Amino acid sequence: MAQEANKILWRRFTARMLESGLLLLAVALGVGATAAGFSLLANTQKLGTEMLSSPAYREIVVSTQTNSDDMEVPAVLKPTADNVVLTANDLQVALSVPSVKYSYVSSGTELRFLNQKVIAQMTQMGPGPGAEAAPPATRTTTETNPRQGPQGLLTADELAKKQAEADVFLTEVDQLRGSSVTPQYFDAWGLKAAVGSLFAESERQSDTTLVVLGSAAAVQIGGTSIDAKALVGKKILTWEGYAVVVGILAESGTDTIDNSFFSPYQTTASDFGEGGPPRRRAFNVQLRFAVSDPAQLEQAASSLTSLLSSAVASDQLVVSNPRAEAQKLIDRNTGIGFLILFLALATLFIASVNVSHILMSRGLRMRKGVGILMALGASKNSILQLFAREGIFLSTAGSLLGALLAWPLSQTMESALGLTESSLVFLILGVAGAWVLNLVFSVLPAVQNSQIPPADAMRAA
Amino acid sequence: MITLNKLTKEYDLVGTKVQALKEVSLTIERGEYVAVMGPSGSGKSTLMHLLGILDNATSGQYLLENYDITSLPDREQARIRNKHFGFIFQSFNLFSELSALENVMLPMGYANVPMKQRRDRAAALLEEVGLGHRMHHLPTMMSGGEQQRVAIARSLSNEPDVILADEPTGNLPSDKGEEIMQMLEGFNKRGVTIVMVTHNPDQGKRARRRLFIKDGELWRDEGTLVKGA
Repeated sequence: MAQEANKILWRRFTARMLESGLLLLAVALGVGATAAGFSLLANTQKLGTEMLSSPAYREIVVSTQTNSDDMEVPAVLKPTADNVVLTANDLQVALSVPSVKYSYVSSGTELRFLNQKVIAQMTQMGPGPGAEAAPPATRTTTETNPRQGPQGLLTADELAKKQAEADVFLTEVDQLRGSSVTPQYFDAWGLKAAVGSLFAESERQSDTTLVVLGSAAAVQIGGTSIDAKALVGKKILTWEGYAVVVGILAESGTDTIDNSFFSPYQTTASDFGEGGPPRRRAFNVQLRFAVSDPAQLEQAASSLTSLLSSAVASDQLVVSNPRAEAQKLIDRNTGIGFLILFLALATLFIASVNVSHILMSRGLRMRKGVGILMALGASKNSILQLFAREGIFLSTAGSLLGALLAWPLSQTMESALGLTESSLVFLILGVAGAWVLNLVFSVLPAVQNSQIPPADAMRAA
Repeated sequence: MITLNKLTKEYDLVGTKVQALKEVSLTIERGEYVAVMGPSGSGKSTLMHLLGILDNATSGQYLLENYDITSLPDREQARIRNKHFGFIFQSFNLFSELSALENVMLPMGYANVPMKQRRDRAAALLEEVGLGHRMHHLPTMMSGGEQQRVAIARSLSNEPDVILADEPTGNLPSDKGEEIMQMLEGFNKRGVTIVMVTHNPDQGKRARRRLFIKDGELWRDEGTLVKGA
């Protein structure tokens, strides 16, 4: 290939900077918009699929008005009497619904740890929170509560003695968030113990506070002083007494689980409806029911509503299907994604047609030059390659510029639709796809220009 | 060297067939200096296009060095044009984006001549036509005579067997036209075959052989009466 021929085209390209610049801009805008639109749509689908694969979206959440305020997406919200609560009996009753595979409670809680630093701080401040009314009995052990010193707080010496006990562990961590759960929670979420064991239903009412640590939480608690696995069997000193580590979960891949601890959700007998006014006691939490097949969620929700309405007045029951709400959100975002992609493709199409048209007219203006080149020895294939180079350059340079535009554009759109993660892979795929599409339009004029018969081109010369 | 046997070229103009060249037969030997003459529309340009393989004949046979090149694939035709023919046009047809040197280098690029060799040979050719001092100038900075000299240098770049010149002095003043004619005659003396289309009877007389074309037919060949006369 004659490099001089390339020079002709390049110098013609640069001689018309305004026209060439506008062509590049048109390609960049079309490619940028298309890539951002594609990335948005693909990312919506990916994150939506990931979200729905979480066990949280195979759940039906049932609540009453008194605790429905903290539900993420209550499906039904009706005013109810204050004294109506759900009981643990309802968990067991619900298992009679064929589509319900697991029923459990999961309620947020936290552990506050005692260590040298906290003791030092509290000693300076005087009687600490330990001197106040004890928190809910769920964490109280039958052993002597370590916080009960002369001033309701351990002295440094006492703490040192406790620390010296082989099975006691003082963590440097001040507090850890976690959940009080009933054992079926682990089955519903597919959580397994990597070390030690999970607690069973029979241990749920244990006087000793049992904890199962998430994999990352165990590393956090153990710190640099002890291997995380060695925490199993240890008693960790907390404000409420000892928390005995019975197991450490295998890594779940979900940050909120891996960084949490889980303790048994403890109830009183009346929570199970075995005495007292059964529905006036403190089991006022959201009950969660998991199905094995998400397709059964609607049916499960309907069955649970009928079932529990017999125990609680139907207008006092709030049943939520988070998956249905999430699906609506995903569908809405997908629709918006398709619309944006359609508009972006229209932009790319218009830009590409214009590029094609201008390159075609440039080729026609160079018809005389094509004739001369053919007379000098250029074959049709050489002419095709020559003009194709111009198209490829224009398309590639425009696409690279488009990629620079696509990144902030996709960030803005994804943020507006509430997508938390951006995908560079989808953006690159989008740019590549738009580039190929534009390339076809940019190279077509080269095919046309190379088919001019030499004699016809020579007549122009 | 060149043999045409009953070469005919027809064009289809909106359903009507027009014969631009009618069964032309002739032979051009190596080293000849041939002037092709005739009125406008007589078929001179069509003959030149067929000789330069820029067009294919509708019928007949074209032998180059006894090799039938009547209907070769495009790539092969391009190679033959590049290697065996040099073209000189009335309006010079230099690329205004390229310097004189680059214009002369251009045909050598299609012959895959290495860059340094291209540059050296182009510079030598420009020296030969008296433009060594202007080789980096753009055609737009040159006079018509200088541009045609660059075009002549370009036509010689691949050492062709035949130079096809279409009214080479048509756009030049007579003194510059004379320079170009002398230059062509000089190359012919060195063995290059010249086929030149001209309207100028004086220039035609300087050729050793004249072909007269009329209504698409070879009417007269160097005093040899082909038809009529």
